[in-house]
Amino acid sequence: MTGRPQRLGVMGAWGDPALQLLEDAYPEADLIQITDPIADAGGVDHLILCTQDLALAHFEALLRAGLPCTLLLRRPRAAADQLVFQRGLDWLAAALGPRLPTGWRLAALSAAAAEEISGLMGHPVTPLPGLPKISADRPVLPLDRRKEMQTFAFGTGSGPRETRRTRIDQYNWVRLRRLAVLHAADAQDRDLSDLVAYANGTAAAGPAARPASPPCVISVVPNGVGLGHVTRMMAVGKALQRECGARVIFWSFSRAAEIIRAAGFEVFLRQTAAHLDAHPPDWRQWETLEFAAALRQFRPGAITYDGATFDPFMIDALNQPGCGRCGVAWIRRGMLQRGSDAQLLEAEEYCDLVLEPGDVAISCDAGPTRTREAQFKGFSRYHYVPPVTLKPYLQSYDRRRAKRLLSLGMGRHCLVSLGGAFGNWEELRGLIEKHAAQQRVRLIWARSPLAPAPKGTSAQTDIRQLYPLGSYLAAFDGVISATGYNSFHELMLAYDGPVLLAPTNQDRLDDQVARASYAAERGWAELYRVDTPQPQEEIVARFMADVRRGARVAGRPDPQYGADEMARAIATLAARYR
Amino acid sequence: MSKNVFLRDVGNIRSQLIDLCERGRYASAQFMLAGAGCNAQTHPALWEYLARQSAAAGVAAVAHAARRLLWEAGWRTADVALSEARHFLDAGDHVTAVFLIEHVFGKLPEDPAARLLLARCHLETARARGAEGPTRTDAEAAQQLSDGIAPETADDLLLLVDLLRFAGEFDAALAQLAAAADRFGGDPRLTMRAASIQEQRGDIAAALALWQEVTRQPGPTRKEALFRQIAAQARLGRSDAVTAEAGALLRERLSLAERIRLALLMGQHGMVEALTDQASQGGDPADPLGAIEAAEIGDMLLDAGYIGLVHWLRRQKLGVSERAKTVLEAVGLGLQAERAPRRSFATSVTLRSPDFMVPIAEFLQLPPKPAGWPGEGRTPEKLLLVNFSLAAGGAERQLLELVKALLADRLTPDQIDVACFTLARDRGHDRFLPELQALGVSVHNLMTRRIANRTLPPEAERLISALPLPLRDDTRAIWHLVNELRPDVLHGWQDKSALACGLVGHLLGLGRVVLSLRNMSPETRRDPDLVRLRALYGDFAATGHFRLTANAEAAIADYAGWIGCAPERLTLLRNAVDDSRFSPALRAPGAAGTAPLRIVGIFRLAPNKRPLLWLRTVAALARQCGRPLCPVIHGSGPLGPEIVTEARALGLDGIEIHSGSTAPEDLYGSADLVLLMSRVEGVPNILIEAQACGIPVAACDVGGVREAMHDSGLLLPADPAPEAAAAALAAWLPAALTTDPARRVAFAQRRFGRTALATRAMALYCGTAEEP
Repeated sequence: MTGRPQRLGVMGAWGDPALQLLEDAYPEADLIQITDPIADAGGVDHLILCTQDLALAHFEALLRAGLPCTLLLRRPRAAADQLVFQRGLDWLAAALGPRLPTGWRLAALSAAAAEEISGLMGHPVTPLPGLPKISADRPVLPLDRRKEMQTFAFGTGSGPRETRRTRIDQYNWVRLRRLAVLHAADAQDRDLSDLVAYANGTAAAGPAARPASPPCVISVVPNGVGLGHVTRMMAVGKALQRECGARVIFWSFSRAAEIIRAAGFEVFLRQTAAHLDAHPPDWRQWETLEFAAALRQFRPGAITYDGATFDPFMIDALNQPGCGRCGVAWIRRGMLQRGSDAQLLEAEEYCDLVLEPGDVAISCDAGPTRTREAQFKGFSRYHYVPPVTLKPYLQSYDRRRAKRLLSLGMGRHCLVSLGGAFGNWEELRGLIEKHAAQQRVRLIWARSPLAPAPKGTSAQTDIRQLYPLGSYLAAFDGVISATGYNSFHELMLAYDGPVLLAPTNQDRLDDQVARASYAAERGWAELYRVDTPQPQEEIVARFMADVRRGARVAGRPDPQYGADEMARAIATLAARYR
Repeated sequence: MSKNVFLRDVGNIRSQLIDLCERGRYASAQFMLAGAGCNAQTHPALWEYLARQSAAAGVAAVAHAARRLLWEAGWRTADVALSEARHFLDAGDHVTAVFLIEHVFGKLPEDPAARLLLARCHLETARARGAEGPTRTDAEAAQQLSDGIAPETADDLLLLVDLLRFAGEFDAALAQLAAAADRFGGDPRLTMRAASIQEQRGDIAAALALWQEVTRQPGPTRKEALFRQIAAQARLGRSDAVTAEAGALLRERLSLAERIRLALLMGQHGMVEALTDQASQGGDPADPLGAIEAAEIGDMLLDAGYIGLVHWLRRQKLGVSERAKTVLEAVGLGLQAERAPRRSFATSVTLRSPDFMVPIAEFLQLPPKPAGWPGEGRTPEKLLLVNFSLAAGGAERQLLELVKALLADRLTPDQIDVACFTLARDRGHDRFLPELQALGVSVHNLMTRRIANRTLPPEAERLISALPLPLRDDTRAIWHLVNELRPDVLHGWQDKSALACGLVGHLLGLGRVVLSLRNMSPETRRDPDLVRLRALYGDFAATGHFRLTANAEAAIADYAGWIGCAPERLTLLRNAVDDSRFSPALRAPGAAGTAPLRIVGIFRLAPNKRPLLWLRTVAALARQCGRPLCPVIHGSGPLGPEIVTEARALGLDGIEIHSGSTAPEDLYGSADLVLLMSRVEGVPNILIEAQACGIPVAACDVGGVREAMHDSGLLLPADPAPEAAAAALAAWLPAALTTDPARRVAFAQRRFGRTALATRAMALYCGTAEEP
């Protein structure tokens, strides 16, 4: 092929490494995966068929389409397939006749393959354009497609090398060759040998790096409970913008898209299968295609995901042609409940990076992220950073300004923020209202942007829909809060007033009780257990008294924030795929 | 006067009936007749008029109702009977249709229309049964119905021809076609039928010529003929022609189903997968898949064992046939089933039949047997041996030898049953039948055997219906016989029978199953149909109470390597030679040193036997050896014409080529030397027999040849050049011709004696053979 076509119509099986590697072979081209040469002929300049099987399957249509065409001819995957391979080539040669149709070219993955196939077919066969070598230090991955799992030695940088296992069918080979030096471990699989030789690249090949420019990162936000994931990802997004001028695009299943947009990010609001009441496999297929289209359009260097469970659509999309130059960073907080299913750790296998935002209560973390290890870690590296909250990126108001903005007026004010939509707060609410009245403390109920207004509150109670809370904390003389990651850390790291923590482990994955107990044991906060039959009125009374007298709490941890560090790690990851 | 009174006037009724029918109001006419009290008993002519008019207008329901009333009223005319029979035939009720015709016209109607319709009933009945196996009609009925009738249309002719050919009456079917050739000569369907019949009778060369005749004519039948032509070329082993013709077909505009059919024909699995992927997306955007084509694709894939792809097509909401749906549901591949492959096409590709049902015992949820089960047993009361046919082949001869050996040992004829998939005389499948029957054993023809109840138990149906063809039909046929006979030992002879016997052994929980694999592994033999069944071989090798055998150490090693099991899992069961038939006594007196040396080759004229290499070697030997040669070939096969041409080109003008001779004295009586040049062999009987007659032998070192050869024989390299092979022969010949023949005879009798075979086989049957 002379001159690289802009629109390259590629035909190949889902997950075919050769199809994926075309992204690196033709970095300037738009790869368009097509299924029918006639129907799609108008939209492409050149066709590449990734196997002789496809050429045989569509031979007449290819002739009729009249497009320049490259037939990539592959050697067999097993010795037992040798006869089928030879017969297939004979058949193709018979169909081609003595001269190739105008604009057609026969290609192979390696010079050796080209020579062998040329000898069998009697037509010239040339190797595909070579791929540039990847220079980064990386593990050697022996590949054997007969095995479901591949085993390799992985250096973590500290300590001994680990033996790891992974499934290769989940990797786009454009990504895989950046993660590992590939080694064909099945001598009979000659296609694999060709693929590996091709994927490892040649020093002589031209550079495939994209021009240096600020990275693009796509942040996938699950439709989790509350705003925890969104808040943390916005913090990281802000850090990415500040650290390296990254373009951060949110792929949001959360209903909080407006909040993200208001924070200055680009957002694609997506619907889950549950939102649409759709058959999950159909939805997943659709979402895969949509996400792949976004990957091709924005060419991000990394995907970040903050959530407990990985939906396969992201990985499926990364396997699509033109979507391989992208790393995956999983932002996974710790402090999961002790009995949480450790299976969720297995998503590490999909990732380049597992980033854990720190938790000040980490020493009492007994959940699987601390006590268990994923069975299959793939190529993922683990990185722990200090706590990540939005606080460093928010405008902080002083007490007077914050009060004015919230129209709070004079007197003592206590913020009540019991989370999004869960928890049995009936008894606590009664106690709060009773003692607030006794102490002449005015209650300000924070209403989550995702939650309906609290029910049954008295007429005197004020409700504010505030987000983010952190900017306004100075306005309050005390805070009653649930113990989600964000509120806990905003309060413990950036607030010095009395805090009453009301944790609940109901319906959630993180161990709020442990987190709150940890703070209470150190005198950083009062602890109100929703789930205990013990009388706790005294706690609320004591807390309200503290609020009344304007108490300050000393000894809370020094504020340290990890979003910048996390952003730097993500930027480094993105640079690997440039 | 009331309306009824008015209508009782028959003339008025008739007028009104005619009027209503003319206006197309047949149902009103029916009600009018009924309401007027004109029943079919009293006024049959009116009802017959209504029946005819409504039938002519295509209002079948009214016509059928009218005829039914006439029939019940006893008005059972030829017209009523034929029309009603057609009605039931169209509705798939062949039995009622036959009753109606035979009730009026008798068992063998004189009326041509009635006879043709009865013929159609028989054919449709056979086709309906054919869903559970090959279509078969009754030979006697076919002959009677087609005898003395001159069809007036090509469709009628084809009907009779089909009735005959599905009864195995190929000559009669061809005679029908020949007799009508003048009248319907331009109809290519007649030529196609003749070609199909030639294929059925095994004359592929004749079939090919007919398919080529059809492909030369443009028209809708050309493409089908091209497919059949390619298949015929493949059966003849003409791979170059297959490639060239398939290449030409590839340049034609073919439907998706046709392309998948072509890919299956060419054994190109990757192409099948690529096209199925396209089908799952609805096919060509410009020509979307219709329901019929989609169902056809699903059935083709199911028959070829691509059950995962069929499941994928269904999941992608492409219509598959009811048969395919039933099979998928039965094997746990329903839309909601747990076994359903996860999310990707690539996963579906890997789900193939029968592999996905392996281990078979687990699939059938059979309780596990303890190691060593069923232990040492007594002499079997009933042994069932199964083989494809009793044609004139080495394996078939060995089957006969086995039966003779067992009878000479301790079994009695009533303890041995032999079953064959075919014993068709016109294809030579019954060559050893008389000899076997003379031994007093029962012989079952699985093709023609009547089965009272074709329904299988659900578990058996579940497994069998999901098998690829032809294993599905083989297993079904054997299951019924084994279920009926309940033998103590089931012995499958050669791979095709062994595979079906193994499955039946699982299904019926038989304690002793012996599976004799012959020759070399399917991979070595390059048999793509058997290669894809490797998982099944593996299952049988892993099933403790199944005993696999092969007839040579080389075959054991080759099979074990291919299956991936320990060689100990296969037991050696050597061939036997009948020393009463093959002995030095049948040889003519030795030829003088100057007389032409008779070099004999006995083999099928097929690519695996390398007959062209044989000729070139002999031609080279003629140049190198000082003595005149007389090459003799006994055999037939697809390469016959090429051999004649090559022999002429090599100047071997004196060559003798015989086909059909099987008598030992014809084969070996005047042989000075037996030469084999096969690419693949198990243990060649020819070598054993020749040595039993004292004849020197030379052969290429493939398969079990080395084991079958006395050390006075000549082992040529596996893939020799003709000149080099001839040089080795020339150097070896003087000593070979002077070696004492008794040494070869003693070797053959010692290693390949009948007693040794019987001892080994009985040990397998009684469970006293060494535990693998």
